[in-house]
Amino acid sequence: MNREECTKNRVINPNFDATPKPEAVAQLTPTPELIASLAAAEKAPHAARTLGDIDPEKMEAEELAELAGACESRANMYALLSRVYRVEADQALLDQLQAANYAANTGNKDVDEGYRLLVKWLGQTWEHSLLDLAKDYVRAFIGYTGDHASAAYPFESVYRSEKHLLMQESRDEVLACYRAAGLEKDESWREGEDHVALEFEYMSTMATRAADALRSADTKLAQDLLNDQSHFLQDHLNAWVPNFTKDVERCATTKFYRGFALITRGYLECEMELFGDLAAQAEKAA
Amino acid sequence: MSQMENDEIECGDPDCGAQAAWQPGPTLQESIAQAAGHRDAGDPKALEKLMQRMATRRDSLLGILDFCREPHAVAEVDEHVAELQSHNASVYDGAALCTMLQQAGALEVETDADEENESDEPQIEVVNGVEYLRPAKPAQKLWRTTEIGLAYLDSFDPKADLARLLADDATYMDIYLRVLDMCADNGGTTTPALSAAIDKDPLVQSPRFFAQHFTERLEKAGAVEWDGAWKITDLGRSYLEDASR
Repeated sequence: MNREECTKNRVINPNFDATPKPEAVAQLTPTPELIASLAAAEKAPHAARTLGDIDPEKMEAEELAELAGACESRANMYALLSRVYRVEADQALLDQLQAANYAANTGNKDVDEGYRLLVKWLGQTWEHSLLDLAKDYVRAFIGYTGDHASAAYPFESVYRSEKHLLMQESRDEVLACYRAAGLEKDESWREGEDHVALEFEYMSTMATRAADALRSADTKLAQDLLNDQSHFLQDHLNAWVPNFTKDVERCATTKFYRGFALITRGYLECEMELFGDLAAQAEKAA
Repeated sequence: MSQMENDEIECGDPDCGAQAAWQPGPTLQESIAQAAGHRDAGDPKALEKLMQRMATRRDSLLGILDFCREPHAVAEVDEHVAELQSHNASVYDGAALCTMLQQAGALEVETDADEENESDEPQIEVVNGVEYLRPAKPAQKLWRTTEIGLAYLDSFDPKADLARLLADDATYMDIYLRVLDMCADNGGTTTPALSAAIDKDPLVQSPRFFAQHFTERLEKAGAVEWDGAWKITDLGRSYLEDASR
């Protein structure tokens, strides 16, 4: 699927472009160094990266705006996924989901099926839905035995380390990514930095920055930010989240979490295709 | 959680280690079934076991079953439970107790009759040529006591249970009747008043018992209740009347 088809089928912004971002409870905050550098209003020169140069003369304003809009939609989607996995659902989240738009045909079968399950669940809510979701959250993500396979533990280290332990090499790597972007975990966050919610929040933050850069025609910065996102997607998210979502499907019993597992997996597929297309187009243009 | 045990994974494919590790064994599958609330499913004595396990909440559980002989909206049942437990606070609210009864097969959820035939499948809405999924309007859910729950309620004979309790503890019949008499007073009685009336009685010196021992047993049998004061119930009053004949 090329970029044009993605946009046409609204895959890269399949939903939530008409809804406000979920309430931002940021777990990643700017480091003091970043704050200082922004206050000095000096931007360090950015070396050209591998995604390919976005030449502002070749890209029309309309295309830049479209790409910026796509990045904003991506930021919204990642923010939503971050919220879903961070803590149990609350009424505010359910209200947002009830008000959102769900495209019936996104072009990705997992996203389509995930939306169908989620919307079906939304049509079956009752007075104890939040309690049902809270129980399912514990069942799916926290578990109740010492067996590492009894839940879908939402940490990259658990999936990628040999002994399925927490706080392994993956955590150090993503922490380096966050710090390179001038982000660090908030004091209120007590878990490892390689929690899926933080990794999604990182992508959301970077997508927002890319959108801002595009809207201010800072294409070099936008290019670097998209490049960072592409690397993070390939090196981290896509290396473990698909398996994680399969475990969510196995461990969760509500259509809510099973639906979001499919949506997450399908969305990452679309993201991989999107960045693949952007890289291919950049190569062609070069 | 900082460390988990892991068995050796033998697999020729270096990338399949993560996949191989996620195969649940039979013990895990049993655990999952239990956690999914299926522990009591199919067990004919599930309700009885629940009542034993939750002895301190038995009155609330029976109160729910009695209330739901006719279907009631979930919110109404929650309100009824709050009322039942207004003088007996519990970490278990209506939602938790109803779920336990449901898992024991004594309570079931049904849809409001008016909405029964409406589909809960997502509806399709077309906006600017694009199809969107819209959630169906959630149907109102009602709690209703099942045949199992009704059978248990009908087999429950509090009068016989009270008579059995007092017969088994006949040595202290005088004390029990004194407690019932004091609770039958207009406005009930207080714990200090009961203590003053009972604690120094020769009957309770050896073995040593205090007033609370007798009020708890009578409360458990349903003969007295606390609502700010110890008061006799209809059951207790009926027993007193029979005893005085």
